[in-house]
Amino acid sequence: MKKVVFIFLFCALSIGINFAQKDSTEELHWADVNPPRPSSFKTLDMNVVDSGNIKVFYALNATDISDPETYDDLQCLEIGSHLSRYYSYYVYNSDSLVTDWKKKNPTVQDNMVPFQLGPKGKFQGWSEYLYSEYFKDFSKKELTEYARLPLRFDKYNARYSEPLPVQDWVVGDETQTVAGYLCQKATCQFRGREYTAWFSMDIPVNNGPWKLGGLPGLILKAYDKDKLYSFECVGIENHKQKFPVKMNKAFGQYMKTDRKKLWKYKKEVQEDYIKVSLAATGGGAVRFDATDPLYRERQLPYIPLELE
Amino acid sequence: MKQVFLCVFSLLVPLLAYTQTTLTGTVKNKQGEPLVVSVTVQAKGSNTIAGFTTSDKEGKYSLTYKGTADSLVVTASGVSVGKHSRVVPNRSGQVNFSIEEKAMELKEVTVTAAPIRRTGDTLNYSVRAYTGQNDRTIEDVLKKMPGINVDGSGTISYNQKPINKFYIENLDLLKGRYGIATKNIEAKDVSTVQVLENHQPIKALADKILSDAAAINLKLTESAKGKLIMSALAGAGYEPAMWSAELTAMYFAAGKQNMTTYKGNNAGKDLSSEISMHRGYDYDYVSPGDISMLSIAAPSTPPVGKNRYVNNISNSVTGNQLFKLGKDMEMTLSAVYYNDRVEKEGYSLSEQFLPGDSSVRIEEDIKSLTKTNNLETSFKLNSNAEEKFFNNSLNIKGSWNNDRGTGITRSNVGDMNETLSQYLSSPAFSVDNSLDFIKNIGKKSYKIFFSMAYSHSPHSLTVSPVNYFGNNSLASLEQSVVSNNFSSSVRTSYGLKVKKVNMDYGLWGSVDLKGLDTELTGTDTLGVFISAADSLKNDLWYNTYQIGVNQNYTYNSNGKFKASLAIPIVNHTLTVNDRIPDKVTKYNRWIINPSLKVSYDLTRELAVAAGGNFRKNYGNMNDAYTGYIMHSYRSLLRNTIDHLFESRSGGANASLQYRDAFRELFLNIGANYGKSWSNLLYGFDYNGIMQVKTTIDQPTQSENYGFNFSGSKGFGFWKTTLNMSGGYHEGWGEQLIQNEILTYRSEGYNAGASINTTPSAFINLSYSFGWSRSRSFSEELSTRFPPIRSQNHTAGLWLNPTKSFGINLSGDYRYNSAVNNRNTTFLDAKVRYKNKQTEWELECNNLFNVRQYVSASYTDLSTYYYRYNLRQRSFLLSVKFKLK
Repeated sequence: MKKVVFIFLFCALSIGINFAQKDSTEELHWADVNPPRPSSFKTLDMNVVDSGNIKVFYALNATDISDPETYDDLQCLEIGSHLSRYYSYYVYNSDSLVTDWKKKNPTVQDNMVPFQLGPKGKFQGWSEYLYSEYFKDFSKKELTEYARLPLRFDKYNARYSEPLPVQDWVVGDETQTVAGYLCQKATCQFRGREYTAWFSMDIPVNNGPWKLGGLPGLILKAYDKDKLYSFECVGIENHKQKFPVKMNKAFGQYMKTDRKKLWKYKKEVQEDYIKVSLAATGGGAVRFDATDPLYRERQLPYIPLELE
Repeated sequence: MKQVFLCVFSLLVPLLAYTQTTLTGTVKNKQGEPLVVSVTVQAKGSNTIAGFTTSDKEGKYSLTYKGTADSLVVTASGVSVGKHSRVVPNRSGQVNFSIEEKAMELKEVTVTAAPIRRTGDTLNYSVRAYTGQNDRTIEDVLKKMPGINVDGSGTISYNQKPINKFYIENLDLLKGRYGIATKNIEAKDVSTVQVLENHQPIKALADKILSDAAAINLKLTESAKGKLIMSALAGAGYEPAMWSAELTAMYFAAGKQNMTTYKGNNAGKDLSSEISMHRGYDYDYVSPGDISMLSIAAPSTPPVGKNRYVNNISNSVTGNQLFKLGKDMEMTLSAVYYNDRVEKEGYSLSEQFLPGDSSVRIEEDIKSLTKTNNLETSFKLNSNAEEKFFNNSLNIKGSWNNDRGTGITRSNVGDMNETLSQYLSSPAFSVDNSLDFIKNIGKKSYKIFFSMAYSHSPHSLTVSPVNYFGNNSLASLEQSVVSNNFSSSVRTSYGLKVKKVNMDYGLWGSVDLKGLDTELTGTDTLGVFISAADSLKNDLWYNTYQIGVNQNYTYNSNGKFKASLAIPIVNHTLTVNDRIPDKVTKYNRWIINPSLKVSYDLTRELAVAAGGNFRKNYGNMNDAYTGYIMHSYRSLLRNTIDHLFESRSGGANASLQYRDAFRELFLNIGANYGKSWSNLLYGFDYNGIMQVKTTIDQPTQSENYGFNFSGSKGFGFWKTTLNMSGGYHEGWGEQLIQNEILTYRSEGYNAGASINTTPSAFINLSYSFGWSRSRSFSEELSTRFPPIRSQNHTAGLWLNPTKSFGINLSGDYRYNSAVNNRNTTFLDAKVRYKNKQTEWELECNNLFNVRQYVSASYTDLSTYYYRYNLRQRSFLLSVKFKLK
């Protein structure tokens, strides 16, 4: 736990830097912002679904692995006896702080509640890779994604289950040391992209970040061929006493769907997020012109890891 | 090589395809239950696997290997079962595992981050990076952080300047008594120490009034927040019979903070430094009243740790509570009680050379007992918002102190050999309130400050018998000094910002009324009371009325170039109402005290700063009373000139600072110069052994200058911190002795260095040395003594055979060239053992059993020698345990 806090503190600095670098004379471009962050949800109502001893922390898209300020996010894999949970540690931590803040300021109007508290990565706004949680159930051989969508899109918050994805790994003979562990290279094709993973036989756990896993050792580093997303281990905790693996009760209310449908929602949110912004401000307050170059410039295409 | 291998390999592949090895088998535990685990195969001697699979629910697996290795390693592994390998020949067949389940121990990993990081004006020190196994409190760790310095009294400096604020989680709970935090908060509960450079505590004045001091903020670990932390310590020892006790409780939450401590001991441990206010701190109370005019002659204390010489019974209780009432509003309550009983014993010999080859030699062999009782309470309400600042601070203090000294005084004057007793009673009471209000409207700030203070201190000093003063033979002399002080001030100010210049104007007025009522009475040997003659009495009101205009101009160019100029103009009216001769004197003077500060950041790391000031001063009540006051048993002082004391002084300083947080390198080079002029020259005459103040109407000057440097560097290698410092100073002035004016000069060099290093987890070494060479002499006298050289070396060693066990040895060696017995060496040892809940410590102090400390100093005009009785060799066993 202490280690995480330690990582946090350095990340906390990045907030300072972000503020410091914001030059007030420069106007905010649509293009500077991703879809806004989803509103926080209560972290008090959690169900204990399993318990485990190992937590693994991954940096998402670090440009300098020794500098948490350069991470897009800090993510955590909690490995239980039959379940594992993969989630954004920063998002979860912010949710906890906001929950606590709301408890202390019960009379404050909803629109005054802070969106984000505590440390965060350099990535701003919404991304499915920050706001989805992935539970791998090894007894049912099933993976469930719980996807949280920004602001008023939260009514489309959805879940789906699929058979536990099996990547057809080809092990190579290259080695690399990641987080002090000797790792071996493995590659695979998975849903339209080519991945490289580095796994360690010293941690015989067939798991990894995001949907990846199935190797005889834990995946400590993984990335796709185009390096759109990279996950790299920055911390491993071996708890002497078991910690509970928890699941937010709100997930039970999430709309049941399938992977393809959710894919469409995500695409719409990503590509048409001004609609989302307008929804957030109640509409009308911000007028936009679809021919406005700023608006067109802003239209970030949806480039997910899963192409099929 | 690889390519060749690949070529050969690709040629062989079709062949090898036929030599595929298939391994099958089951994985079961000792009880015969099937296990679902990973099974891998690799060539013997290779560190990479060639194939893998997972055993099924029946524990069955099947693996293929395509390769030419003679032997294969088949491994079944899982976190809960461990790693189990078997070496088999490269042949298809069955390999069954029957394994003993053994959970695997994973090595934990943390991303390695730089120990210090900078964001803007904030430096973040990772506490973990500087914490060693033997560091308990956050002070232990602060001492190791490059750029941060903690002196013996606990004052924290950053780049040689004392800090102006100390926060815990951004809240100022202790209002300057930060020793309570640094000596009690455990290092493991703090995650980051933040240094806030150029810290302006008042948010409404940020970017408006410059500050060159830094503040410290402790960021706690998540696990230390929002819960009650309690610990206790109990200890006993010999010799003499010793005890030590502590009870501390603290609670830090977002809206509430509390620290409550009790400490007590008779083991020589100093408690006062923990609760003292530190210099440089940004206080919000009215400056304390005058120091007592009276004192007893007590043994001089040696420059070694207090625990070596103090015979004490000390108790301290502190309670500090902070409530956050709103976003920016805080209320702080604090109470500090300190009780101390200190015995001292020592011998001193001083000799004052007088013009004309005569001298006064005084030998004193004194035992003293000082009893201290202090109670201070304060109530503060503070609102610190961007646009508005409000602060009200109410302080009430009471103290009941007394000193008793008995001893023998011998002198060459009149062959004196007397046993004397001295008794000083010095109670004091004070109450003060200050109110500060600042409001920003647009770019303008409006400020009002109002304060009131009252203090009352009835002191008295009794000496008996008195056979050494003139031809009198008295049973006792009693000096009483009652002082009453009332002061009040109102300040308003108005600030505005024009481009990059902040202009701050203030109008203020203050009243300071000081009453002094003194009387020196006696009792003769027959017990008859002798009332004071008028020359031995004072009934004086020394009142100062000031009206002034403040002007402050601050220029800030993107934080790189900063300049501030202050030109206060004061009209100073002083009335001295001396009621014994019934004489009222009134003075009116104008004072202009300009000062200038500039700093420029040449690069992100390198900065230059310079400053200068000029000031005028018109003395204080000590220069105004005309009846004799017996300040101590052999000092009888009064002022004989009815002029107003006037002095002027000017000074300048410049410094160059280099601070590179990433390289952990901090350097500071500075120079300073000062000159002062005054219209009166003070001096001392001797009447027997009695020192009598004399004043002549003779303008005098003094001058001094100096250079200093300091540097510190942290190395990742062995967690090493290196500090170095040095300096030179020179000065001259004039002194009046037995009606002759002598010019004295002094000069000195000093240098020091220290290193702290941790070569491995079980050893920590620290070493420091200080060296100085100084002399002072009089131009008019032809004799020259050699310069005094002194050195001290301290070394410490920590050995940690296990994580829970530590042994500490520390040595302290001192050398002083002015004494015959030049060398003093102390050795102490400590053994510490800790487990989850308790920490045991056995301290062995003064293993060489050094019983006396001897020191001396001399100038061409006087010599001084003293000997002090130290505490003997002692052992103290204490246990500290967590209550919560």
